[in-house]
Amino acid sequence: MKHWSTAHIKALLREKAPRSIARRLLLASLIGLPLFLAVTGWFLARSFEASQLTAAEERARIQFYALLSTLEFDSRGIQVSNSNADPRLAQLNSGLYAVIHRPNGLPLWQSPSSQSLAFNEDLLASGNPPEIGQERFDSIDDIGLLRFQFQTLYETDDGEDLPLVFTILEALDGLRAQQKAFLGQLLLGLGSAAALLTLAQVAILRWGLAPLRKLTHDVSDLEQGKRAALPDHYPTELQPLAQNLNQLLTREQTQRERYRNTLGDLAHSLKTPLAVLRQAVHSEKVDRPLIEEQIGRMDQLIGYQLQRAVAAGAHRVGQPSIFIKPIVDKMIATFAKVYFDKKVQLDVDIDARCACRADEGDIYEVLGNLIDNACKACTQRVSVFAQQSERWLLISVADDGPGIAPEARQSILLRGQRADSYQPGQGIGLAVATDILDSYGAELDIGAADLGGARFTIRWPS
Amino acid sequence: MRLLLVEDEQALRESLTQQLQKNGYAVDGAADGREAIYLATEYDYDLGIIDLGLPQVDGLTVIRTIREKGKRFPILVLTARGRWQDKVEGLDAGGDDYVAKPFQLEEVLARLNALLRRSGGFASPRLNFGPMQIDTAAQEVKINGEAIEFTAFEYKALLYLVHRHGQVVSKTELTEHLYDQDFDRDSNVIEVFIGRLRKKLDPEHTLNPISTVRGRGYRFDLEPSDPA
Repeated sequence: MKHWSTAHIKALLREKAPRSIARRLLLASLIGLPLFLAVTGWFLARSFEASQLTAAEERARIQFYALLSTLEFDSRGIQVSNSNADPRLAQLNSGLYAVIHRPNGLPLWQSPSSQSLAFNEDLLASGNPPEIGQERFDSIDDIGLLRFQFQTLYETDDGEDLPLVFTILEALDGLRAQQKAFLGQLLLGLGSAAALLTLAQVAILRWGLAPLRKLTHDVSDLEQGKRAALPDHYPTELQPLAQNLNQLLTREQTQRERYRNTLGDLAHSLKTPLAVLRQAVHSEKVDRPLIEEQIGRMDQLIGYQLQRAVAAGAHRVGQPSIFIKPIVDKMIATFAKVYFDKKVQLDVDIDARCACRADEGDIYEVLGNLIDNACKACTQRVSVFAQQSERWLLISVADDGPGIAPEARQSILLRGQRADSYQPGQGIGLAVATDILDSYGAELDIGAADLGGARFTIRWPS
Repeated sequence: MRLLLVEDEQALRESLTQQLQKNGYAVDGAADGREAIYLATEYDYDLGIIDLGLPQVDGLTVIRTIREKGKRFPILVLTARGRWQDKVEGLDAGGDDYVAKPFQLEEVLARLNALLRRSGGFASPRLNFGPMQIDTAAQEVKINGEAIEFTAFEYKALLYLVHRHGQVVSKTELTEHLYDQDFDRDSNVIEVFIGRLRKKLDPEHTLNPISTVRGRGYRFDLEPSDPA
């Protein structure tokens, strides 16, 4: 026998489950609804039967009291006046029978309806009558009769206590016919309920899933270029999805534009050095310094444009907070190696909680360029400081070098932003850093440091 | 000075090997990370030049593995991407300096020089041994102010002995660090070669900078006069 583990069942469900949400829900309700209705029907039928039996017992008890109240005992034996009794007792084979007998089964009186009935020990339970003053209600299924019995002591005129057993029998046919009719109605009722519920379910599904169909339609419109963004009137559950999709689209579009601009700038700016090189090839003697210079220039152009293009930039959905200190610590270890001979003293004062929402690579790029510049410019000392306030994350990189004259500060930031304005030997680091900071809405200021050199301060919005 | 050069781009590896050999280095080349780890564990190198983008095992893993195996020789990281994150990760993994591609040979040579000098325990590019001065930046040797002409190979051999001044360097060690793995080893070559060095450094036999320790090898005997 195959052993069914949870994994098996899960796999089977995954494999066999319909691909459509509407079909899944419908399938689930088509399985669930009949099950629910069957259980309901079963309970209803059972309680109907139980109430029928209670009613039958109650009827039999009433018959018994009626018989008891009209019973008389005379020399001919027991007499029952029929005035209070059920008329069915007087009618042959009516389905209601009454017998008054001795506990041992000896009949003393029987209703006219029961004349054709053969009383035996099974029918009258003569071997096992109820106790005196006790009643018993049961059914004799093989002959289809309900039986109510009561044993009482009847005081005769002679003052003698005579034990009498009253047995009232009712045929089950009537009850069964009622049950059948009830079941028929029940099935009809439940069946129509099932049909109505299924129809309602289909309608609810169509209505409930309509926004999903609309979203699919809108996305396909996006794909075909019929619209630029998703509208913002989806139900609350779908609105975040639509918003995220829109943000993703905007980001993708920005990125694409940036790539396109980069490629355009790159192609444009490479043409000048290429033209110089082409001339150099045709000149009579090889001018090595010229070729070196042009290659250097092309290298710088490619470096700047590509680093700008791969910078991740801001606006990423759910961009995590990046802690600054571990990054700076790693960098300090790097620069200590790279500037080993210069013996640069690198001081770091950064609170461990300082963080900003940005791409980790972008933070590396910005801080790497600033600290590298500071190490190059310094005489001996570089300090990196960061502080977080409610509005800003402030990061400053200061050195004890010659500093930057106030009038040169603005131009140094702009230097190299125009792709064709490079001079050989100029770093592209600051231009790349400025570009990245711009994309996050962060600012870069140049000032004078207490150490004596320049101080570059980043104000990163918190 | 024997270098391990790990670079998957064949053209670049070959031209760099040629240039380095021209500058007196013995160079073993590796084209992928696995070969690099094998060579680094099997042989004793003075320096490694390792590209970060390698097939099979990437450069960062190569550097980490080499360091985990206890190899302490300096490593110059080559990186094509030039992003700071790559450079920092390369040095964090165990590199000692980096050069971004495309590089100029002069820059690589200058960084190799500095790394080798530092690994020899010299902080300053100028090494002073009494009357003898070595300028490792200019690759110039002077005795009593007079420049001595060396071939690039002779200069590297002298530098190897100088970096281990006061220690005995065996012929085998010298052979292993001066020649690459394809070299046909013959101890006579080393003897002749040391003879030539002595003749250039000390034609009058007054200084005796390199002594022979019988049965064990050679030793550079001059003491640094101002260890920086």
